[in-house]
Amino acid sequence: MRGLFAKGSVARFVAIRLAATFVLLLALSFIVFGLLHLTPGDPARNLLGPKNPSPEALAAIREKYRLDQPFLRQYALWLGDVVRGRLGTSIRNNTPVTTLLADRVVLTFQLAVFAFGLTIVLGVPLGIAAAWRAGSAFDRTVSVTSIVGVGAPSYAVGLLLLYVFGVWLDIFPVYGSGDGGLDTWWHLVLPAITLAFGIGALVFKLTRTAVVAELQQDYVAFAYSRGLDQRQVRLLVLRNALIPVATSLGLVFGFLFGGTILVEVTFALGGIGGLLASSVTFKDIPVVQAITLLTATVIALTALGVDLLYYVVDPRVRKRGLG
Amino acid sequence: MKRPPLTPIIAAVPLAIVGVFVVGSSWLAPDATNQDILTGATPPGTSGHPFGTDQLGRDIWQFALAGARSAVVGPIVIALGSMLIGLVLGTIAGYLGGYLDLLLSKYADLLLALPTTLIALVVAGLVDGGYWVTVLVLVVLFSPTDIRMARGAVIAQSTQPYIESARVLGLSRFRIMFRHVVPNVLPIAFTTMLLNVAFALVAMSALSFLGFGVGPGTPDWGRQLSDGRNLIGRNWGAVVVPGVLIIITAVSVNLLGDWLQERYEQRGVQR
Amino acid sequence: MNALELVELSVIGPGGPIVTRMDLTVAPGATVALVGESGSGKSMTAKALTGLLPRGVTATGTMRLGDDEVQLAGGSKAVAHLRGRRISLLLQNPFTSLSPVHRCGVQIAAALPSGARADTAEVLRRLEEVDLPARVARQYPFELSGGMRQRVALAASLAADPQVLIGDEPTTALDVTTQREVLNLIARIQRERSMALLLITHDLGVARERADEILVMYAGRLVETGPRGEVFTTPRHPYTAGLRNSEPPLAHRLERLPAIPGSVPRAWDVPVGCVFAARCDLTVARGTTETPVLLTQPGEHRAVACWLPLADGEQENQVIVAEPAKPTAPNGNELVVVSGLTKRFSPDTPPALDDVSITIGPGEAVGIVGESGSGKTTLARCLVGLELANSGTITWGGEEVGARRAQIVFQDPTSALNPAMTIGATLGEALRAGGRDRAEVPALLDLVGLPAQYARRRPNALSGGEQQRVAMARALAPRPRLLICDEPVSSLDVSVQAQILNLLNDLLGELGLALLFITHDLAVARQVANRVYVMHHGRVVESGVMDELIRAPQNDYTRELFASVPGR
Repeated sequence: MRGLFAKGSVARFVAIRLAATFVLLLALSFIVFGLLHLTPGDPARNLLGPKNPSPEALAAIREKYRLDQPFLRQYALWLGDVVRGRLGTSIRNNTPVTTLLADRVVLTFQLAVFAFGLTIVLGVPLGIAAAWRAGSAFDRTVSVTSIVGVGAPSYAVGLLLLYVFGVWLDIFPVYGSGDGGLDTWWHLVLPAITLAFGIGALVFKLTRTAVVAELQQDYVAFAYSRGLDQRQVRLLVLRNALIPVATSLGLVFGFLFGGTILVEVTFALGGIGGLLASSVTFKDIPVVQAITLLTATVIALTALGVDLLYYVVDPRVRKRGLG
Repeated sequence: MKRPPLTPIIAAVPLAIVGVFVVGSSWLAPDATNQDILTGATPPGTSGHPFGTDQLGRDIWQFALAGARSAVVGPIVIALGSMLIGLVLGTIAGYLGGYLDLLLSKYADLLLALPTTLIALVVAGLVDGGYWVTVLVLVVLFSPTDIRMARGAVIAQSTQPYIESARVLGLSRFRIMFRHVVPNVLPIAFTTMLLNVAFALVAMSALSFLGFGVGPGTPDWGRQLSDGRNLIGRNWGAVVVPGVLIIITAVSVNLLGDWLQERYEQRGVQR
Repeated sequence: MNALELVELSVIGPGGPIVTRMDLTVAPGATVALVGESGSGKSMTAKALTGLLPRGVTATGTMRLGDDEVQLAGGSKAVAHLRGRRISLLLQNPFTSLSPVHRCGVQIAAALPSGARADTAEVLRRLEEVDLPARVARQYPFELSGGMRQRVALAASLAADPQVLIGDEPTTALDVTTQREVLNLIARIQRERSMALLLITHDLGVARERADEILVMYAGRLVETGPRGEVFTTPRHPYTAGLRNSEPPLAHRLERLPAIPGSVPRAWDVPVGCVFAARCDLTVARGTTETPVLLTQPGEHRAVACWLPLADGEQENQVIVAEPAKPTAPNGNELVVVSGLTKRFSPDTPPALDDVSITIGPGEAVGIVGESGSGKTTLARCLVGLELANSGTITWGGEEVGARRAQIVFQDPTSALNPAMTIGATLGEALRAGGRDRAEVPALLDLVGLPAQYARRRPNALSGGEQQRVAMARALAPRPRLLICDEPVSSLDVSVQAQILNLLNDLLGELGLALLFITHDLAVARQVANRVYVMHHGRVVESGVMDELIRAPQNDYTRELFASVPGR
């Protein structure tokens, strides 16, 4: 057993990372839980919504949400419910939160995958190409475009695209998520492009920076001097740049989530991002808690995945083990 | 005599114009909030309204011009406040180390584990305290990045021989921290701050786009865009004007910040 | 037919010329050393020959490799087809020459002719050629020591079987003992392959020992060339003479090291006239207006570019050998006694300090000699309080505390001064820390031989030697009883090194303070210290009076250390 967890072994690496992720999620869940009490006003009234509640209703709510118990006990009970999949009931329409989510998660997932795919397919190769031809007209053009991509807010870009391609040129549908299947994907084109423009620009920049940094290293000059041709040197460089690029892709994933919220609202898509926005507006706290927790979990697991990727991709980590 | 660099000039021009908008909105756009509900939304070119009006009859152009202030002032405060916190806490954490450092690092890591937009939305949205409360919330949310940056820069400095010489000379830790380390961290802090202005601009306007932050009647680009979304059929100006304004402003700040960052890195490599 | 012929090589950068009209030839199997200090243009020469000049820098001239001829103005494209096959390069830093994520075997194989790349036997053969075991093929560079990495790099650079190898300071980053091994290895390979070597170095000893012919470069020009036996024994050019004389001798201690005043200029700062004129004792009016051409001496294989070449016999310096210092017997009045000091940074690495004991008497100059990893730096840091030892004691005599006990000067002058503060501010602060008045800054600058105006400047406006002087001034400001110098001259050019060593000796005499001088270079230690400790792997392996130790070393490691010093 000792050998299994020896320094530098996979098992040890994964175990430590898993433990850290677990602690992180616990801390985040605590914060998410505390959101209810963060909202100004009496939690019971907030949970009942804008209607003027009767004393019986208030008492019932207090019972249901255990508001009279000590804070930590409330948290423990809530956490117990959550891990068993009982995410509560929406205040707005009294449906179980899980049902609400189930309907929408798929759409958000499709949007995220579409956008992420575009990001990788465009951002990474362009970044490599720009770095290789650093200083050229090509590089300068794409780099300037990427600055627009990184700087411009996604909803503004989305709305402009919406106007140009949806209204003016009337190519793409303006609202909604269509009728499922291929039609849904068609509806997701503009939103995905909007998201990918911003995130892809970031990935482009990070990739370009990583490759440029590698090109300045001694080993590149040494490789050329021994007679390696451009193709061979490119392979050397890319293999080295893979490490920072892969980790940046993971980092960017978090931005993707923030972006889907805005894009879904802009294009009136029925995903969980849009649900989150409207739930916050209506102070529908159980929904807000559930979505935030879900997002946090996905992001934390992605970060874990990136760490494991590090292990696979960087031999230095493998041999010495980032214990 | 070398030609002055092009990039900062290209970036500075729109920013200067926006600056004029911010300062002079009261006499450049005096009728910004004048409503005319009977007329409602009209397309661009309608008499007296180069970009038309919105559903409440307000002139799009003047309303957008007046919106510059709320778009810009809050973010600057956020960037400044966050950097101040970041520098102080980051320097203390980086230089003193120990439990304080551990605590601050874990706090920063925790906050950075979630996307800013998400947390900003949830916290600012639930608290729902208006413009300046939102600014405060964002200062708190932005500070972990600056704490991390300052801490990293400080730690990198602490191993430098000139810091060690200062220690051997017996100078107090406080003096070393703020007289020796911080002045060398300031250049990169300034650059990061500029980039933070850009992020804060996007974050604040995104929040107002979603309906949080400013009140309904206040001129604000995010709000205007949100309203404009519903008018997209009747008046394209309602979307294009604030949209273009916000994109140009955000991109210009980014351009400037990027250029500074590159220059700073080059100087470091120059050795 | 020569292996390498270079005709009128010039390299021009954005600031001006870097190398001007250089010719050289290397016969097959021969070694030519290109000797010069920083800024001489020697590294750029190597880059020009392999087409690796950075953007903005161009070369002109003709290069012939065997029967291939290229015009260097064509840049990388012109030379590309010759790289590896005909001419190859070995770089200085073994820690960055190899890709960190590829195995060594793969990297060596990459330059093999395409048919042979998958041939593992071939890779193993190459490893054997550089005395490395077969397992290295499967290992990554970070798993190997510096010396082993440099051997891998050597094997990689030889993979395509070039006829000419350029070594750009190939052993400078290695320990003295490893240095010798690697140079021997290169020499052996040269013999086996009849390969020519262009050895670029700043180390006169290496050049003296390994080269058949020596070319001396200064500010982008060749100032003297000749066979190894003659160039340094009977130098014709004043710079060569000055360089040779600046080199601290191992055989004896000099009262004063002959130094060349000033610092090495950049090639583009001396456009007109003789490049050395500004620092030369023998300048004539002609020297400032006309550039001397490299002229071959009639009937000899020597050439010199000088209006007043030295005749034989004129180069001998009037050097005064110092009286051997009388060893101070320990009299219970020591300044500092270190006893049984042990320091371990982490449980699974060997201790940095292992039961180390040394003493330093008041006003005494003590040397610590050792290679990297010997623990010498850790010892210094413990003495000034930057590190805390795990066990053992440091006992100080006298009543001074804190800053007045000991101060330290580090190796790298460029990072030793706060770039955001002016020199005056830095020194003023140091004076205040020692309870003295800021007004003494000019006096402090004068003490280290710098003009008072420097107080207003920032560190990046000073040369390396000047920065080190300021660092010394700062260390002396609080009037410490002990000055610790950790490799203070290793980052400096040889000609500047001598200036700093002289300054140090002067200061010791004037201020009566004690000195702990840490270095890997025995000859340098000799010029400054009376007693010496030799450290190896965290332990003191030998100690004694300098003269006696050098004359008759007792310990095996000490002997090995002496034997490894090149060219002495």
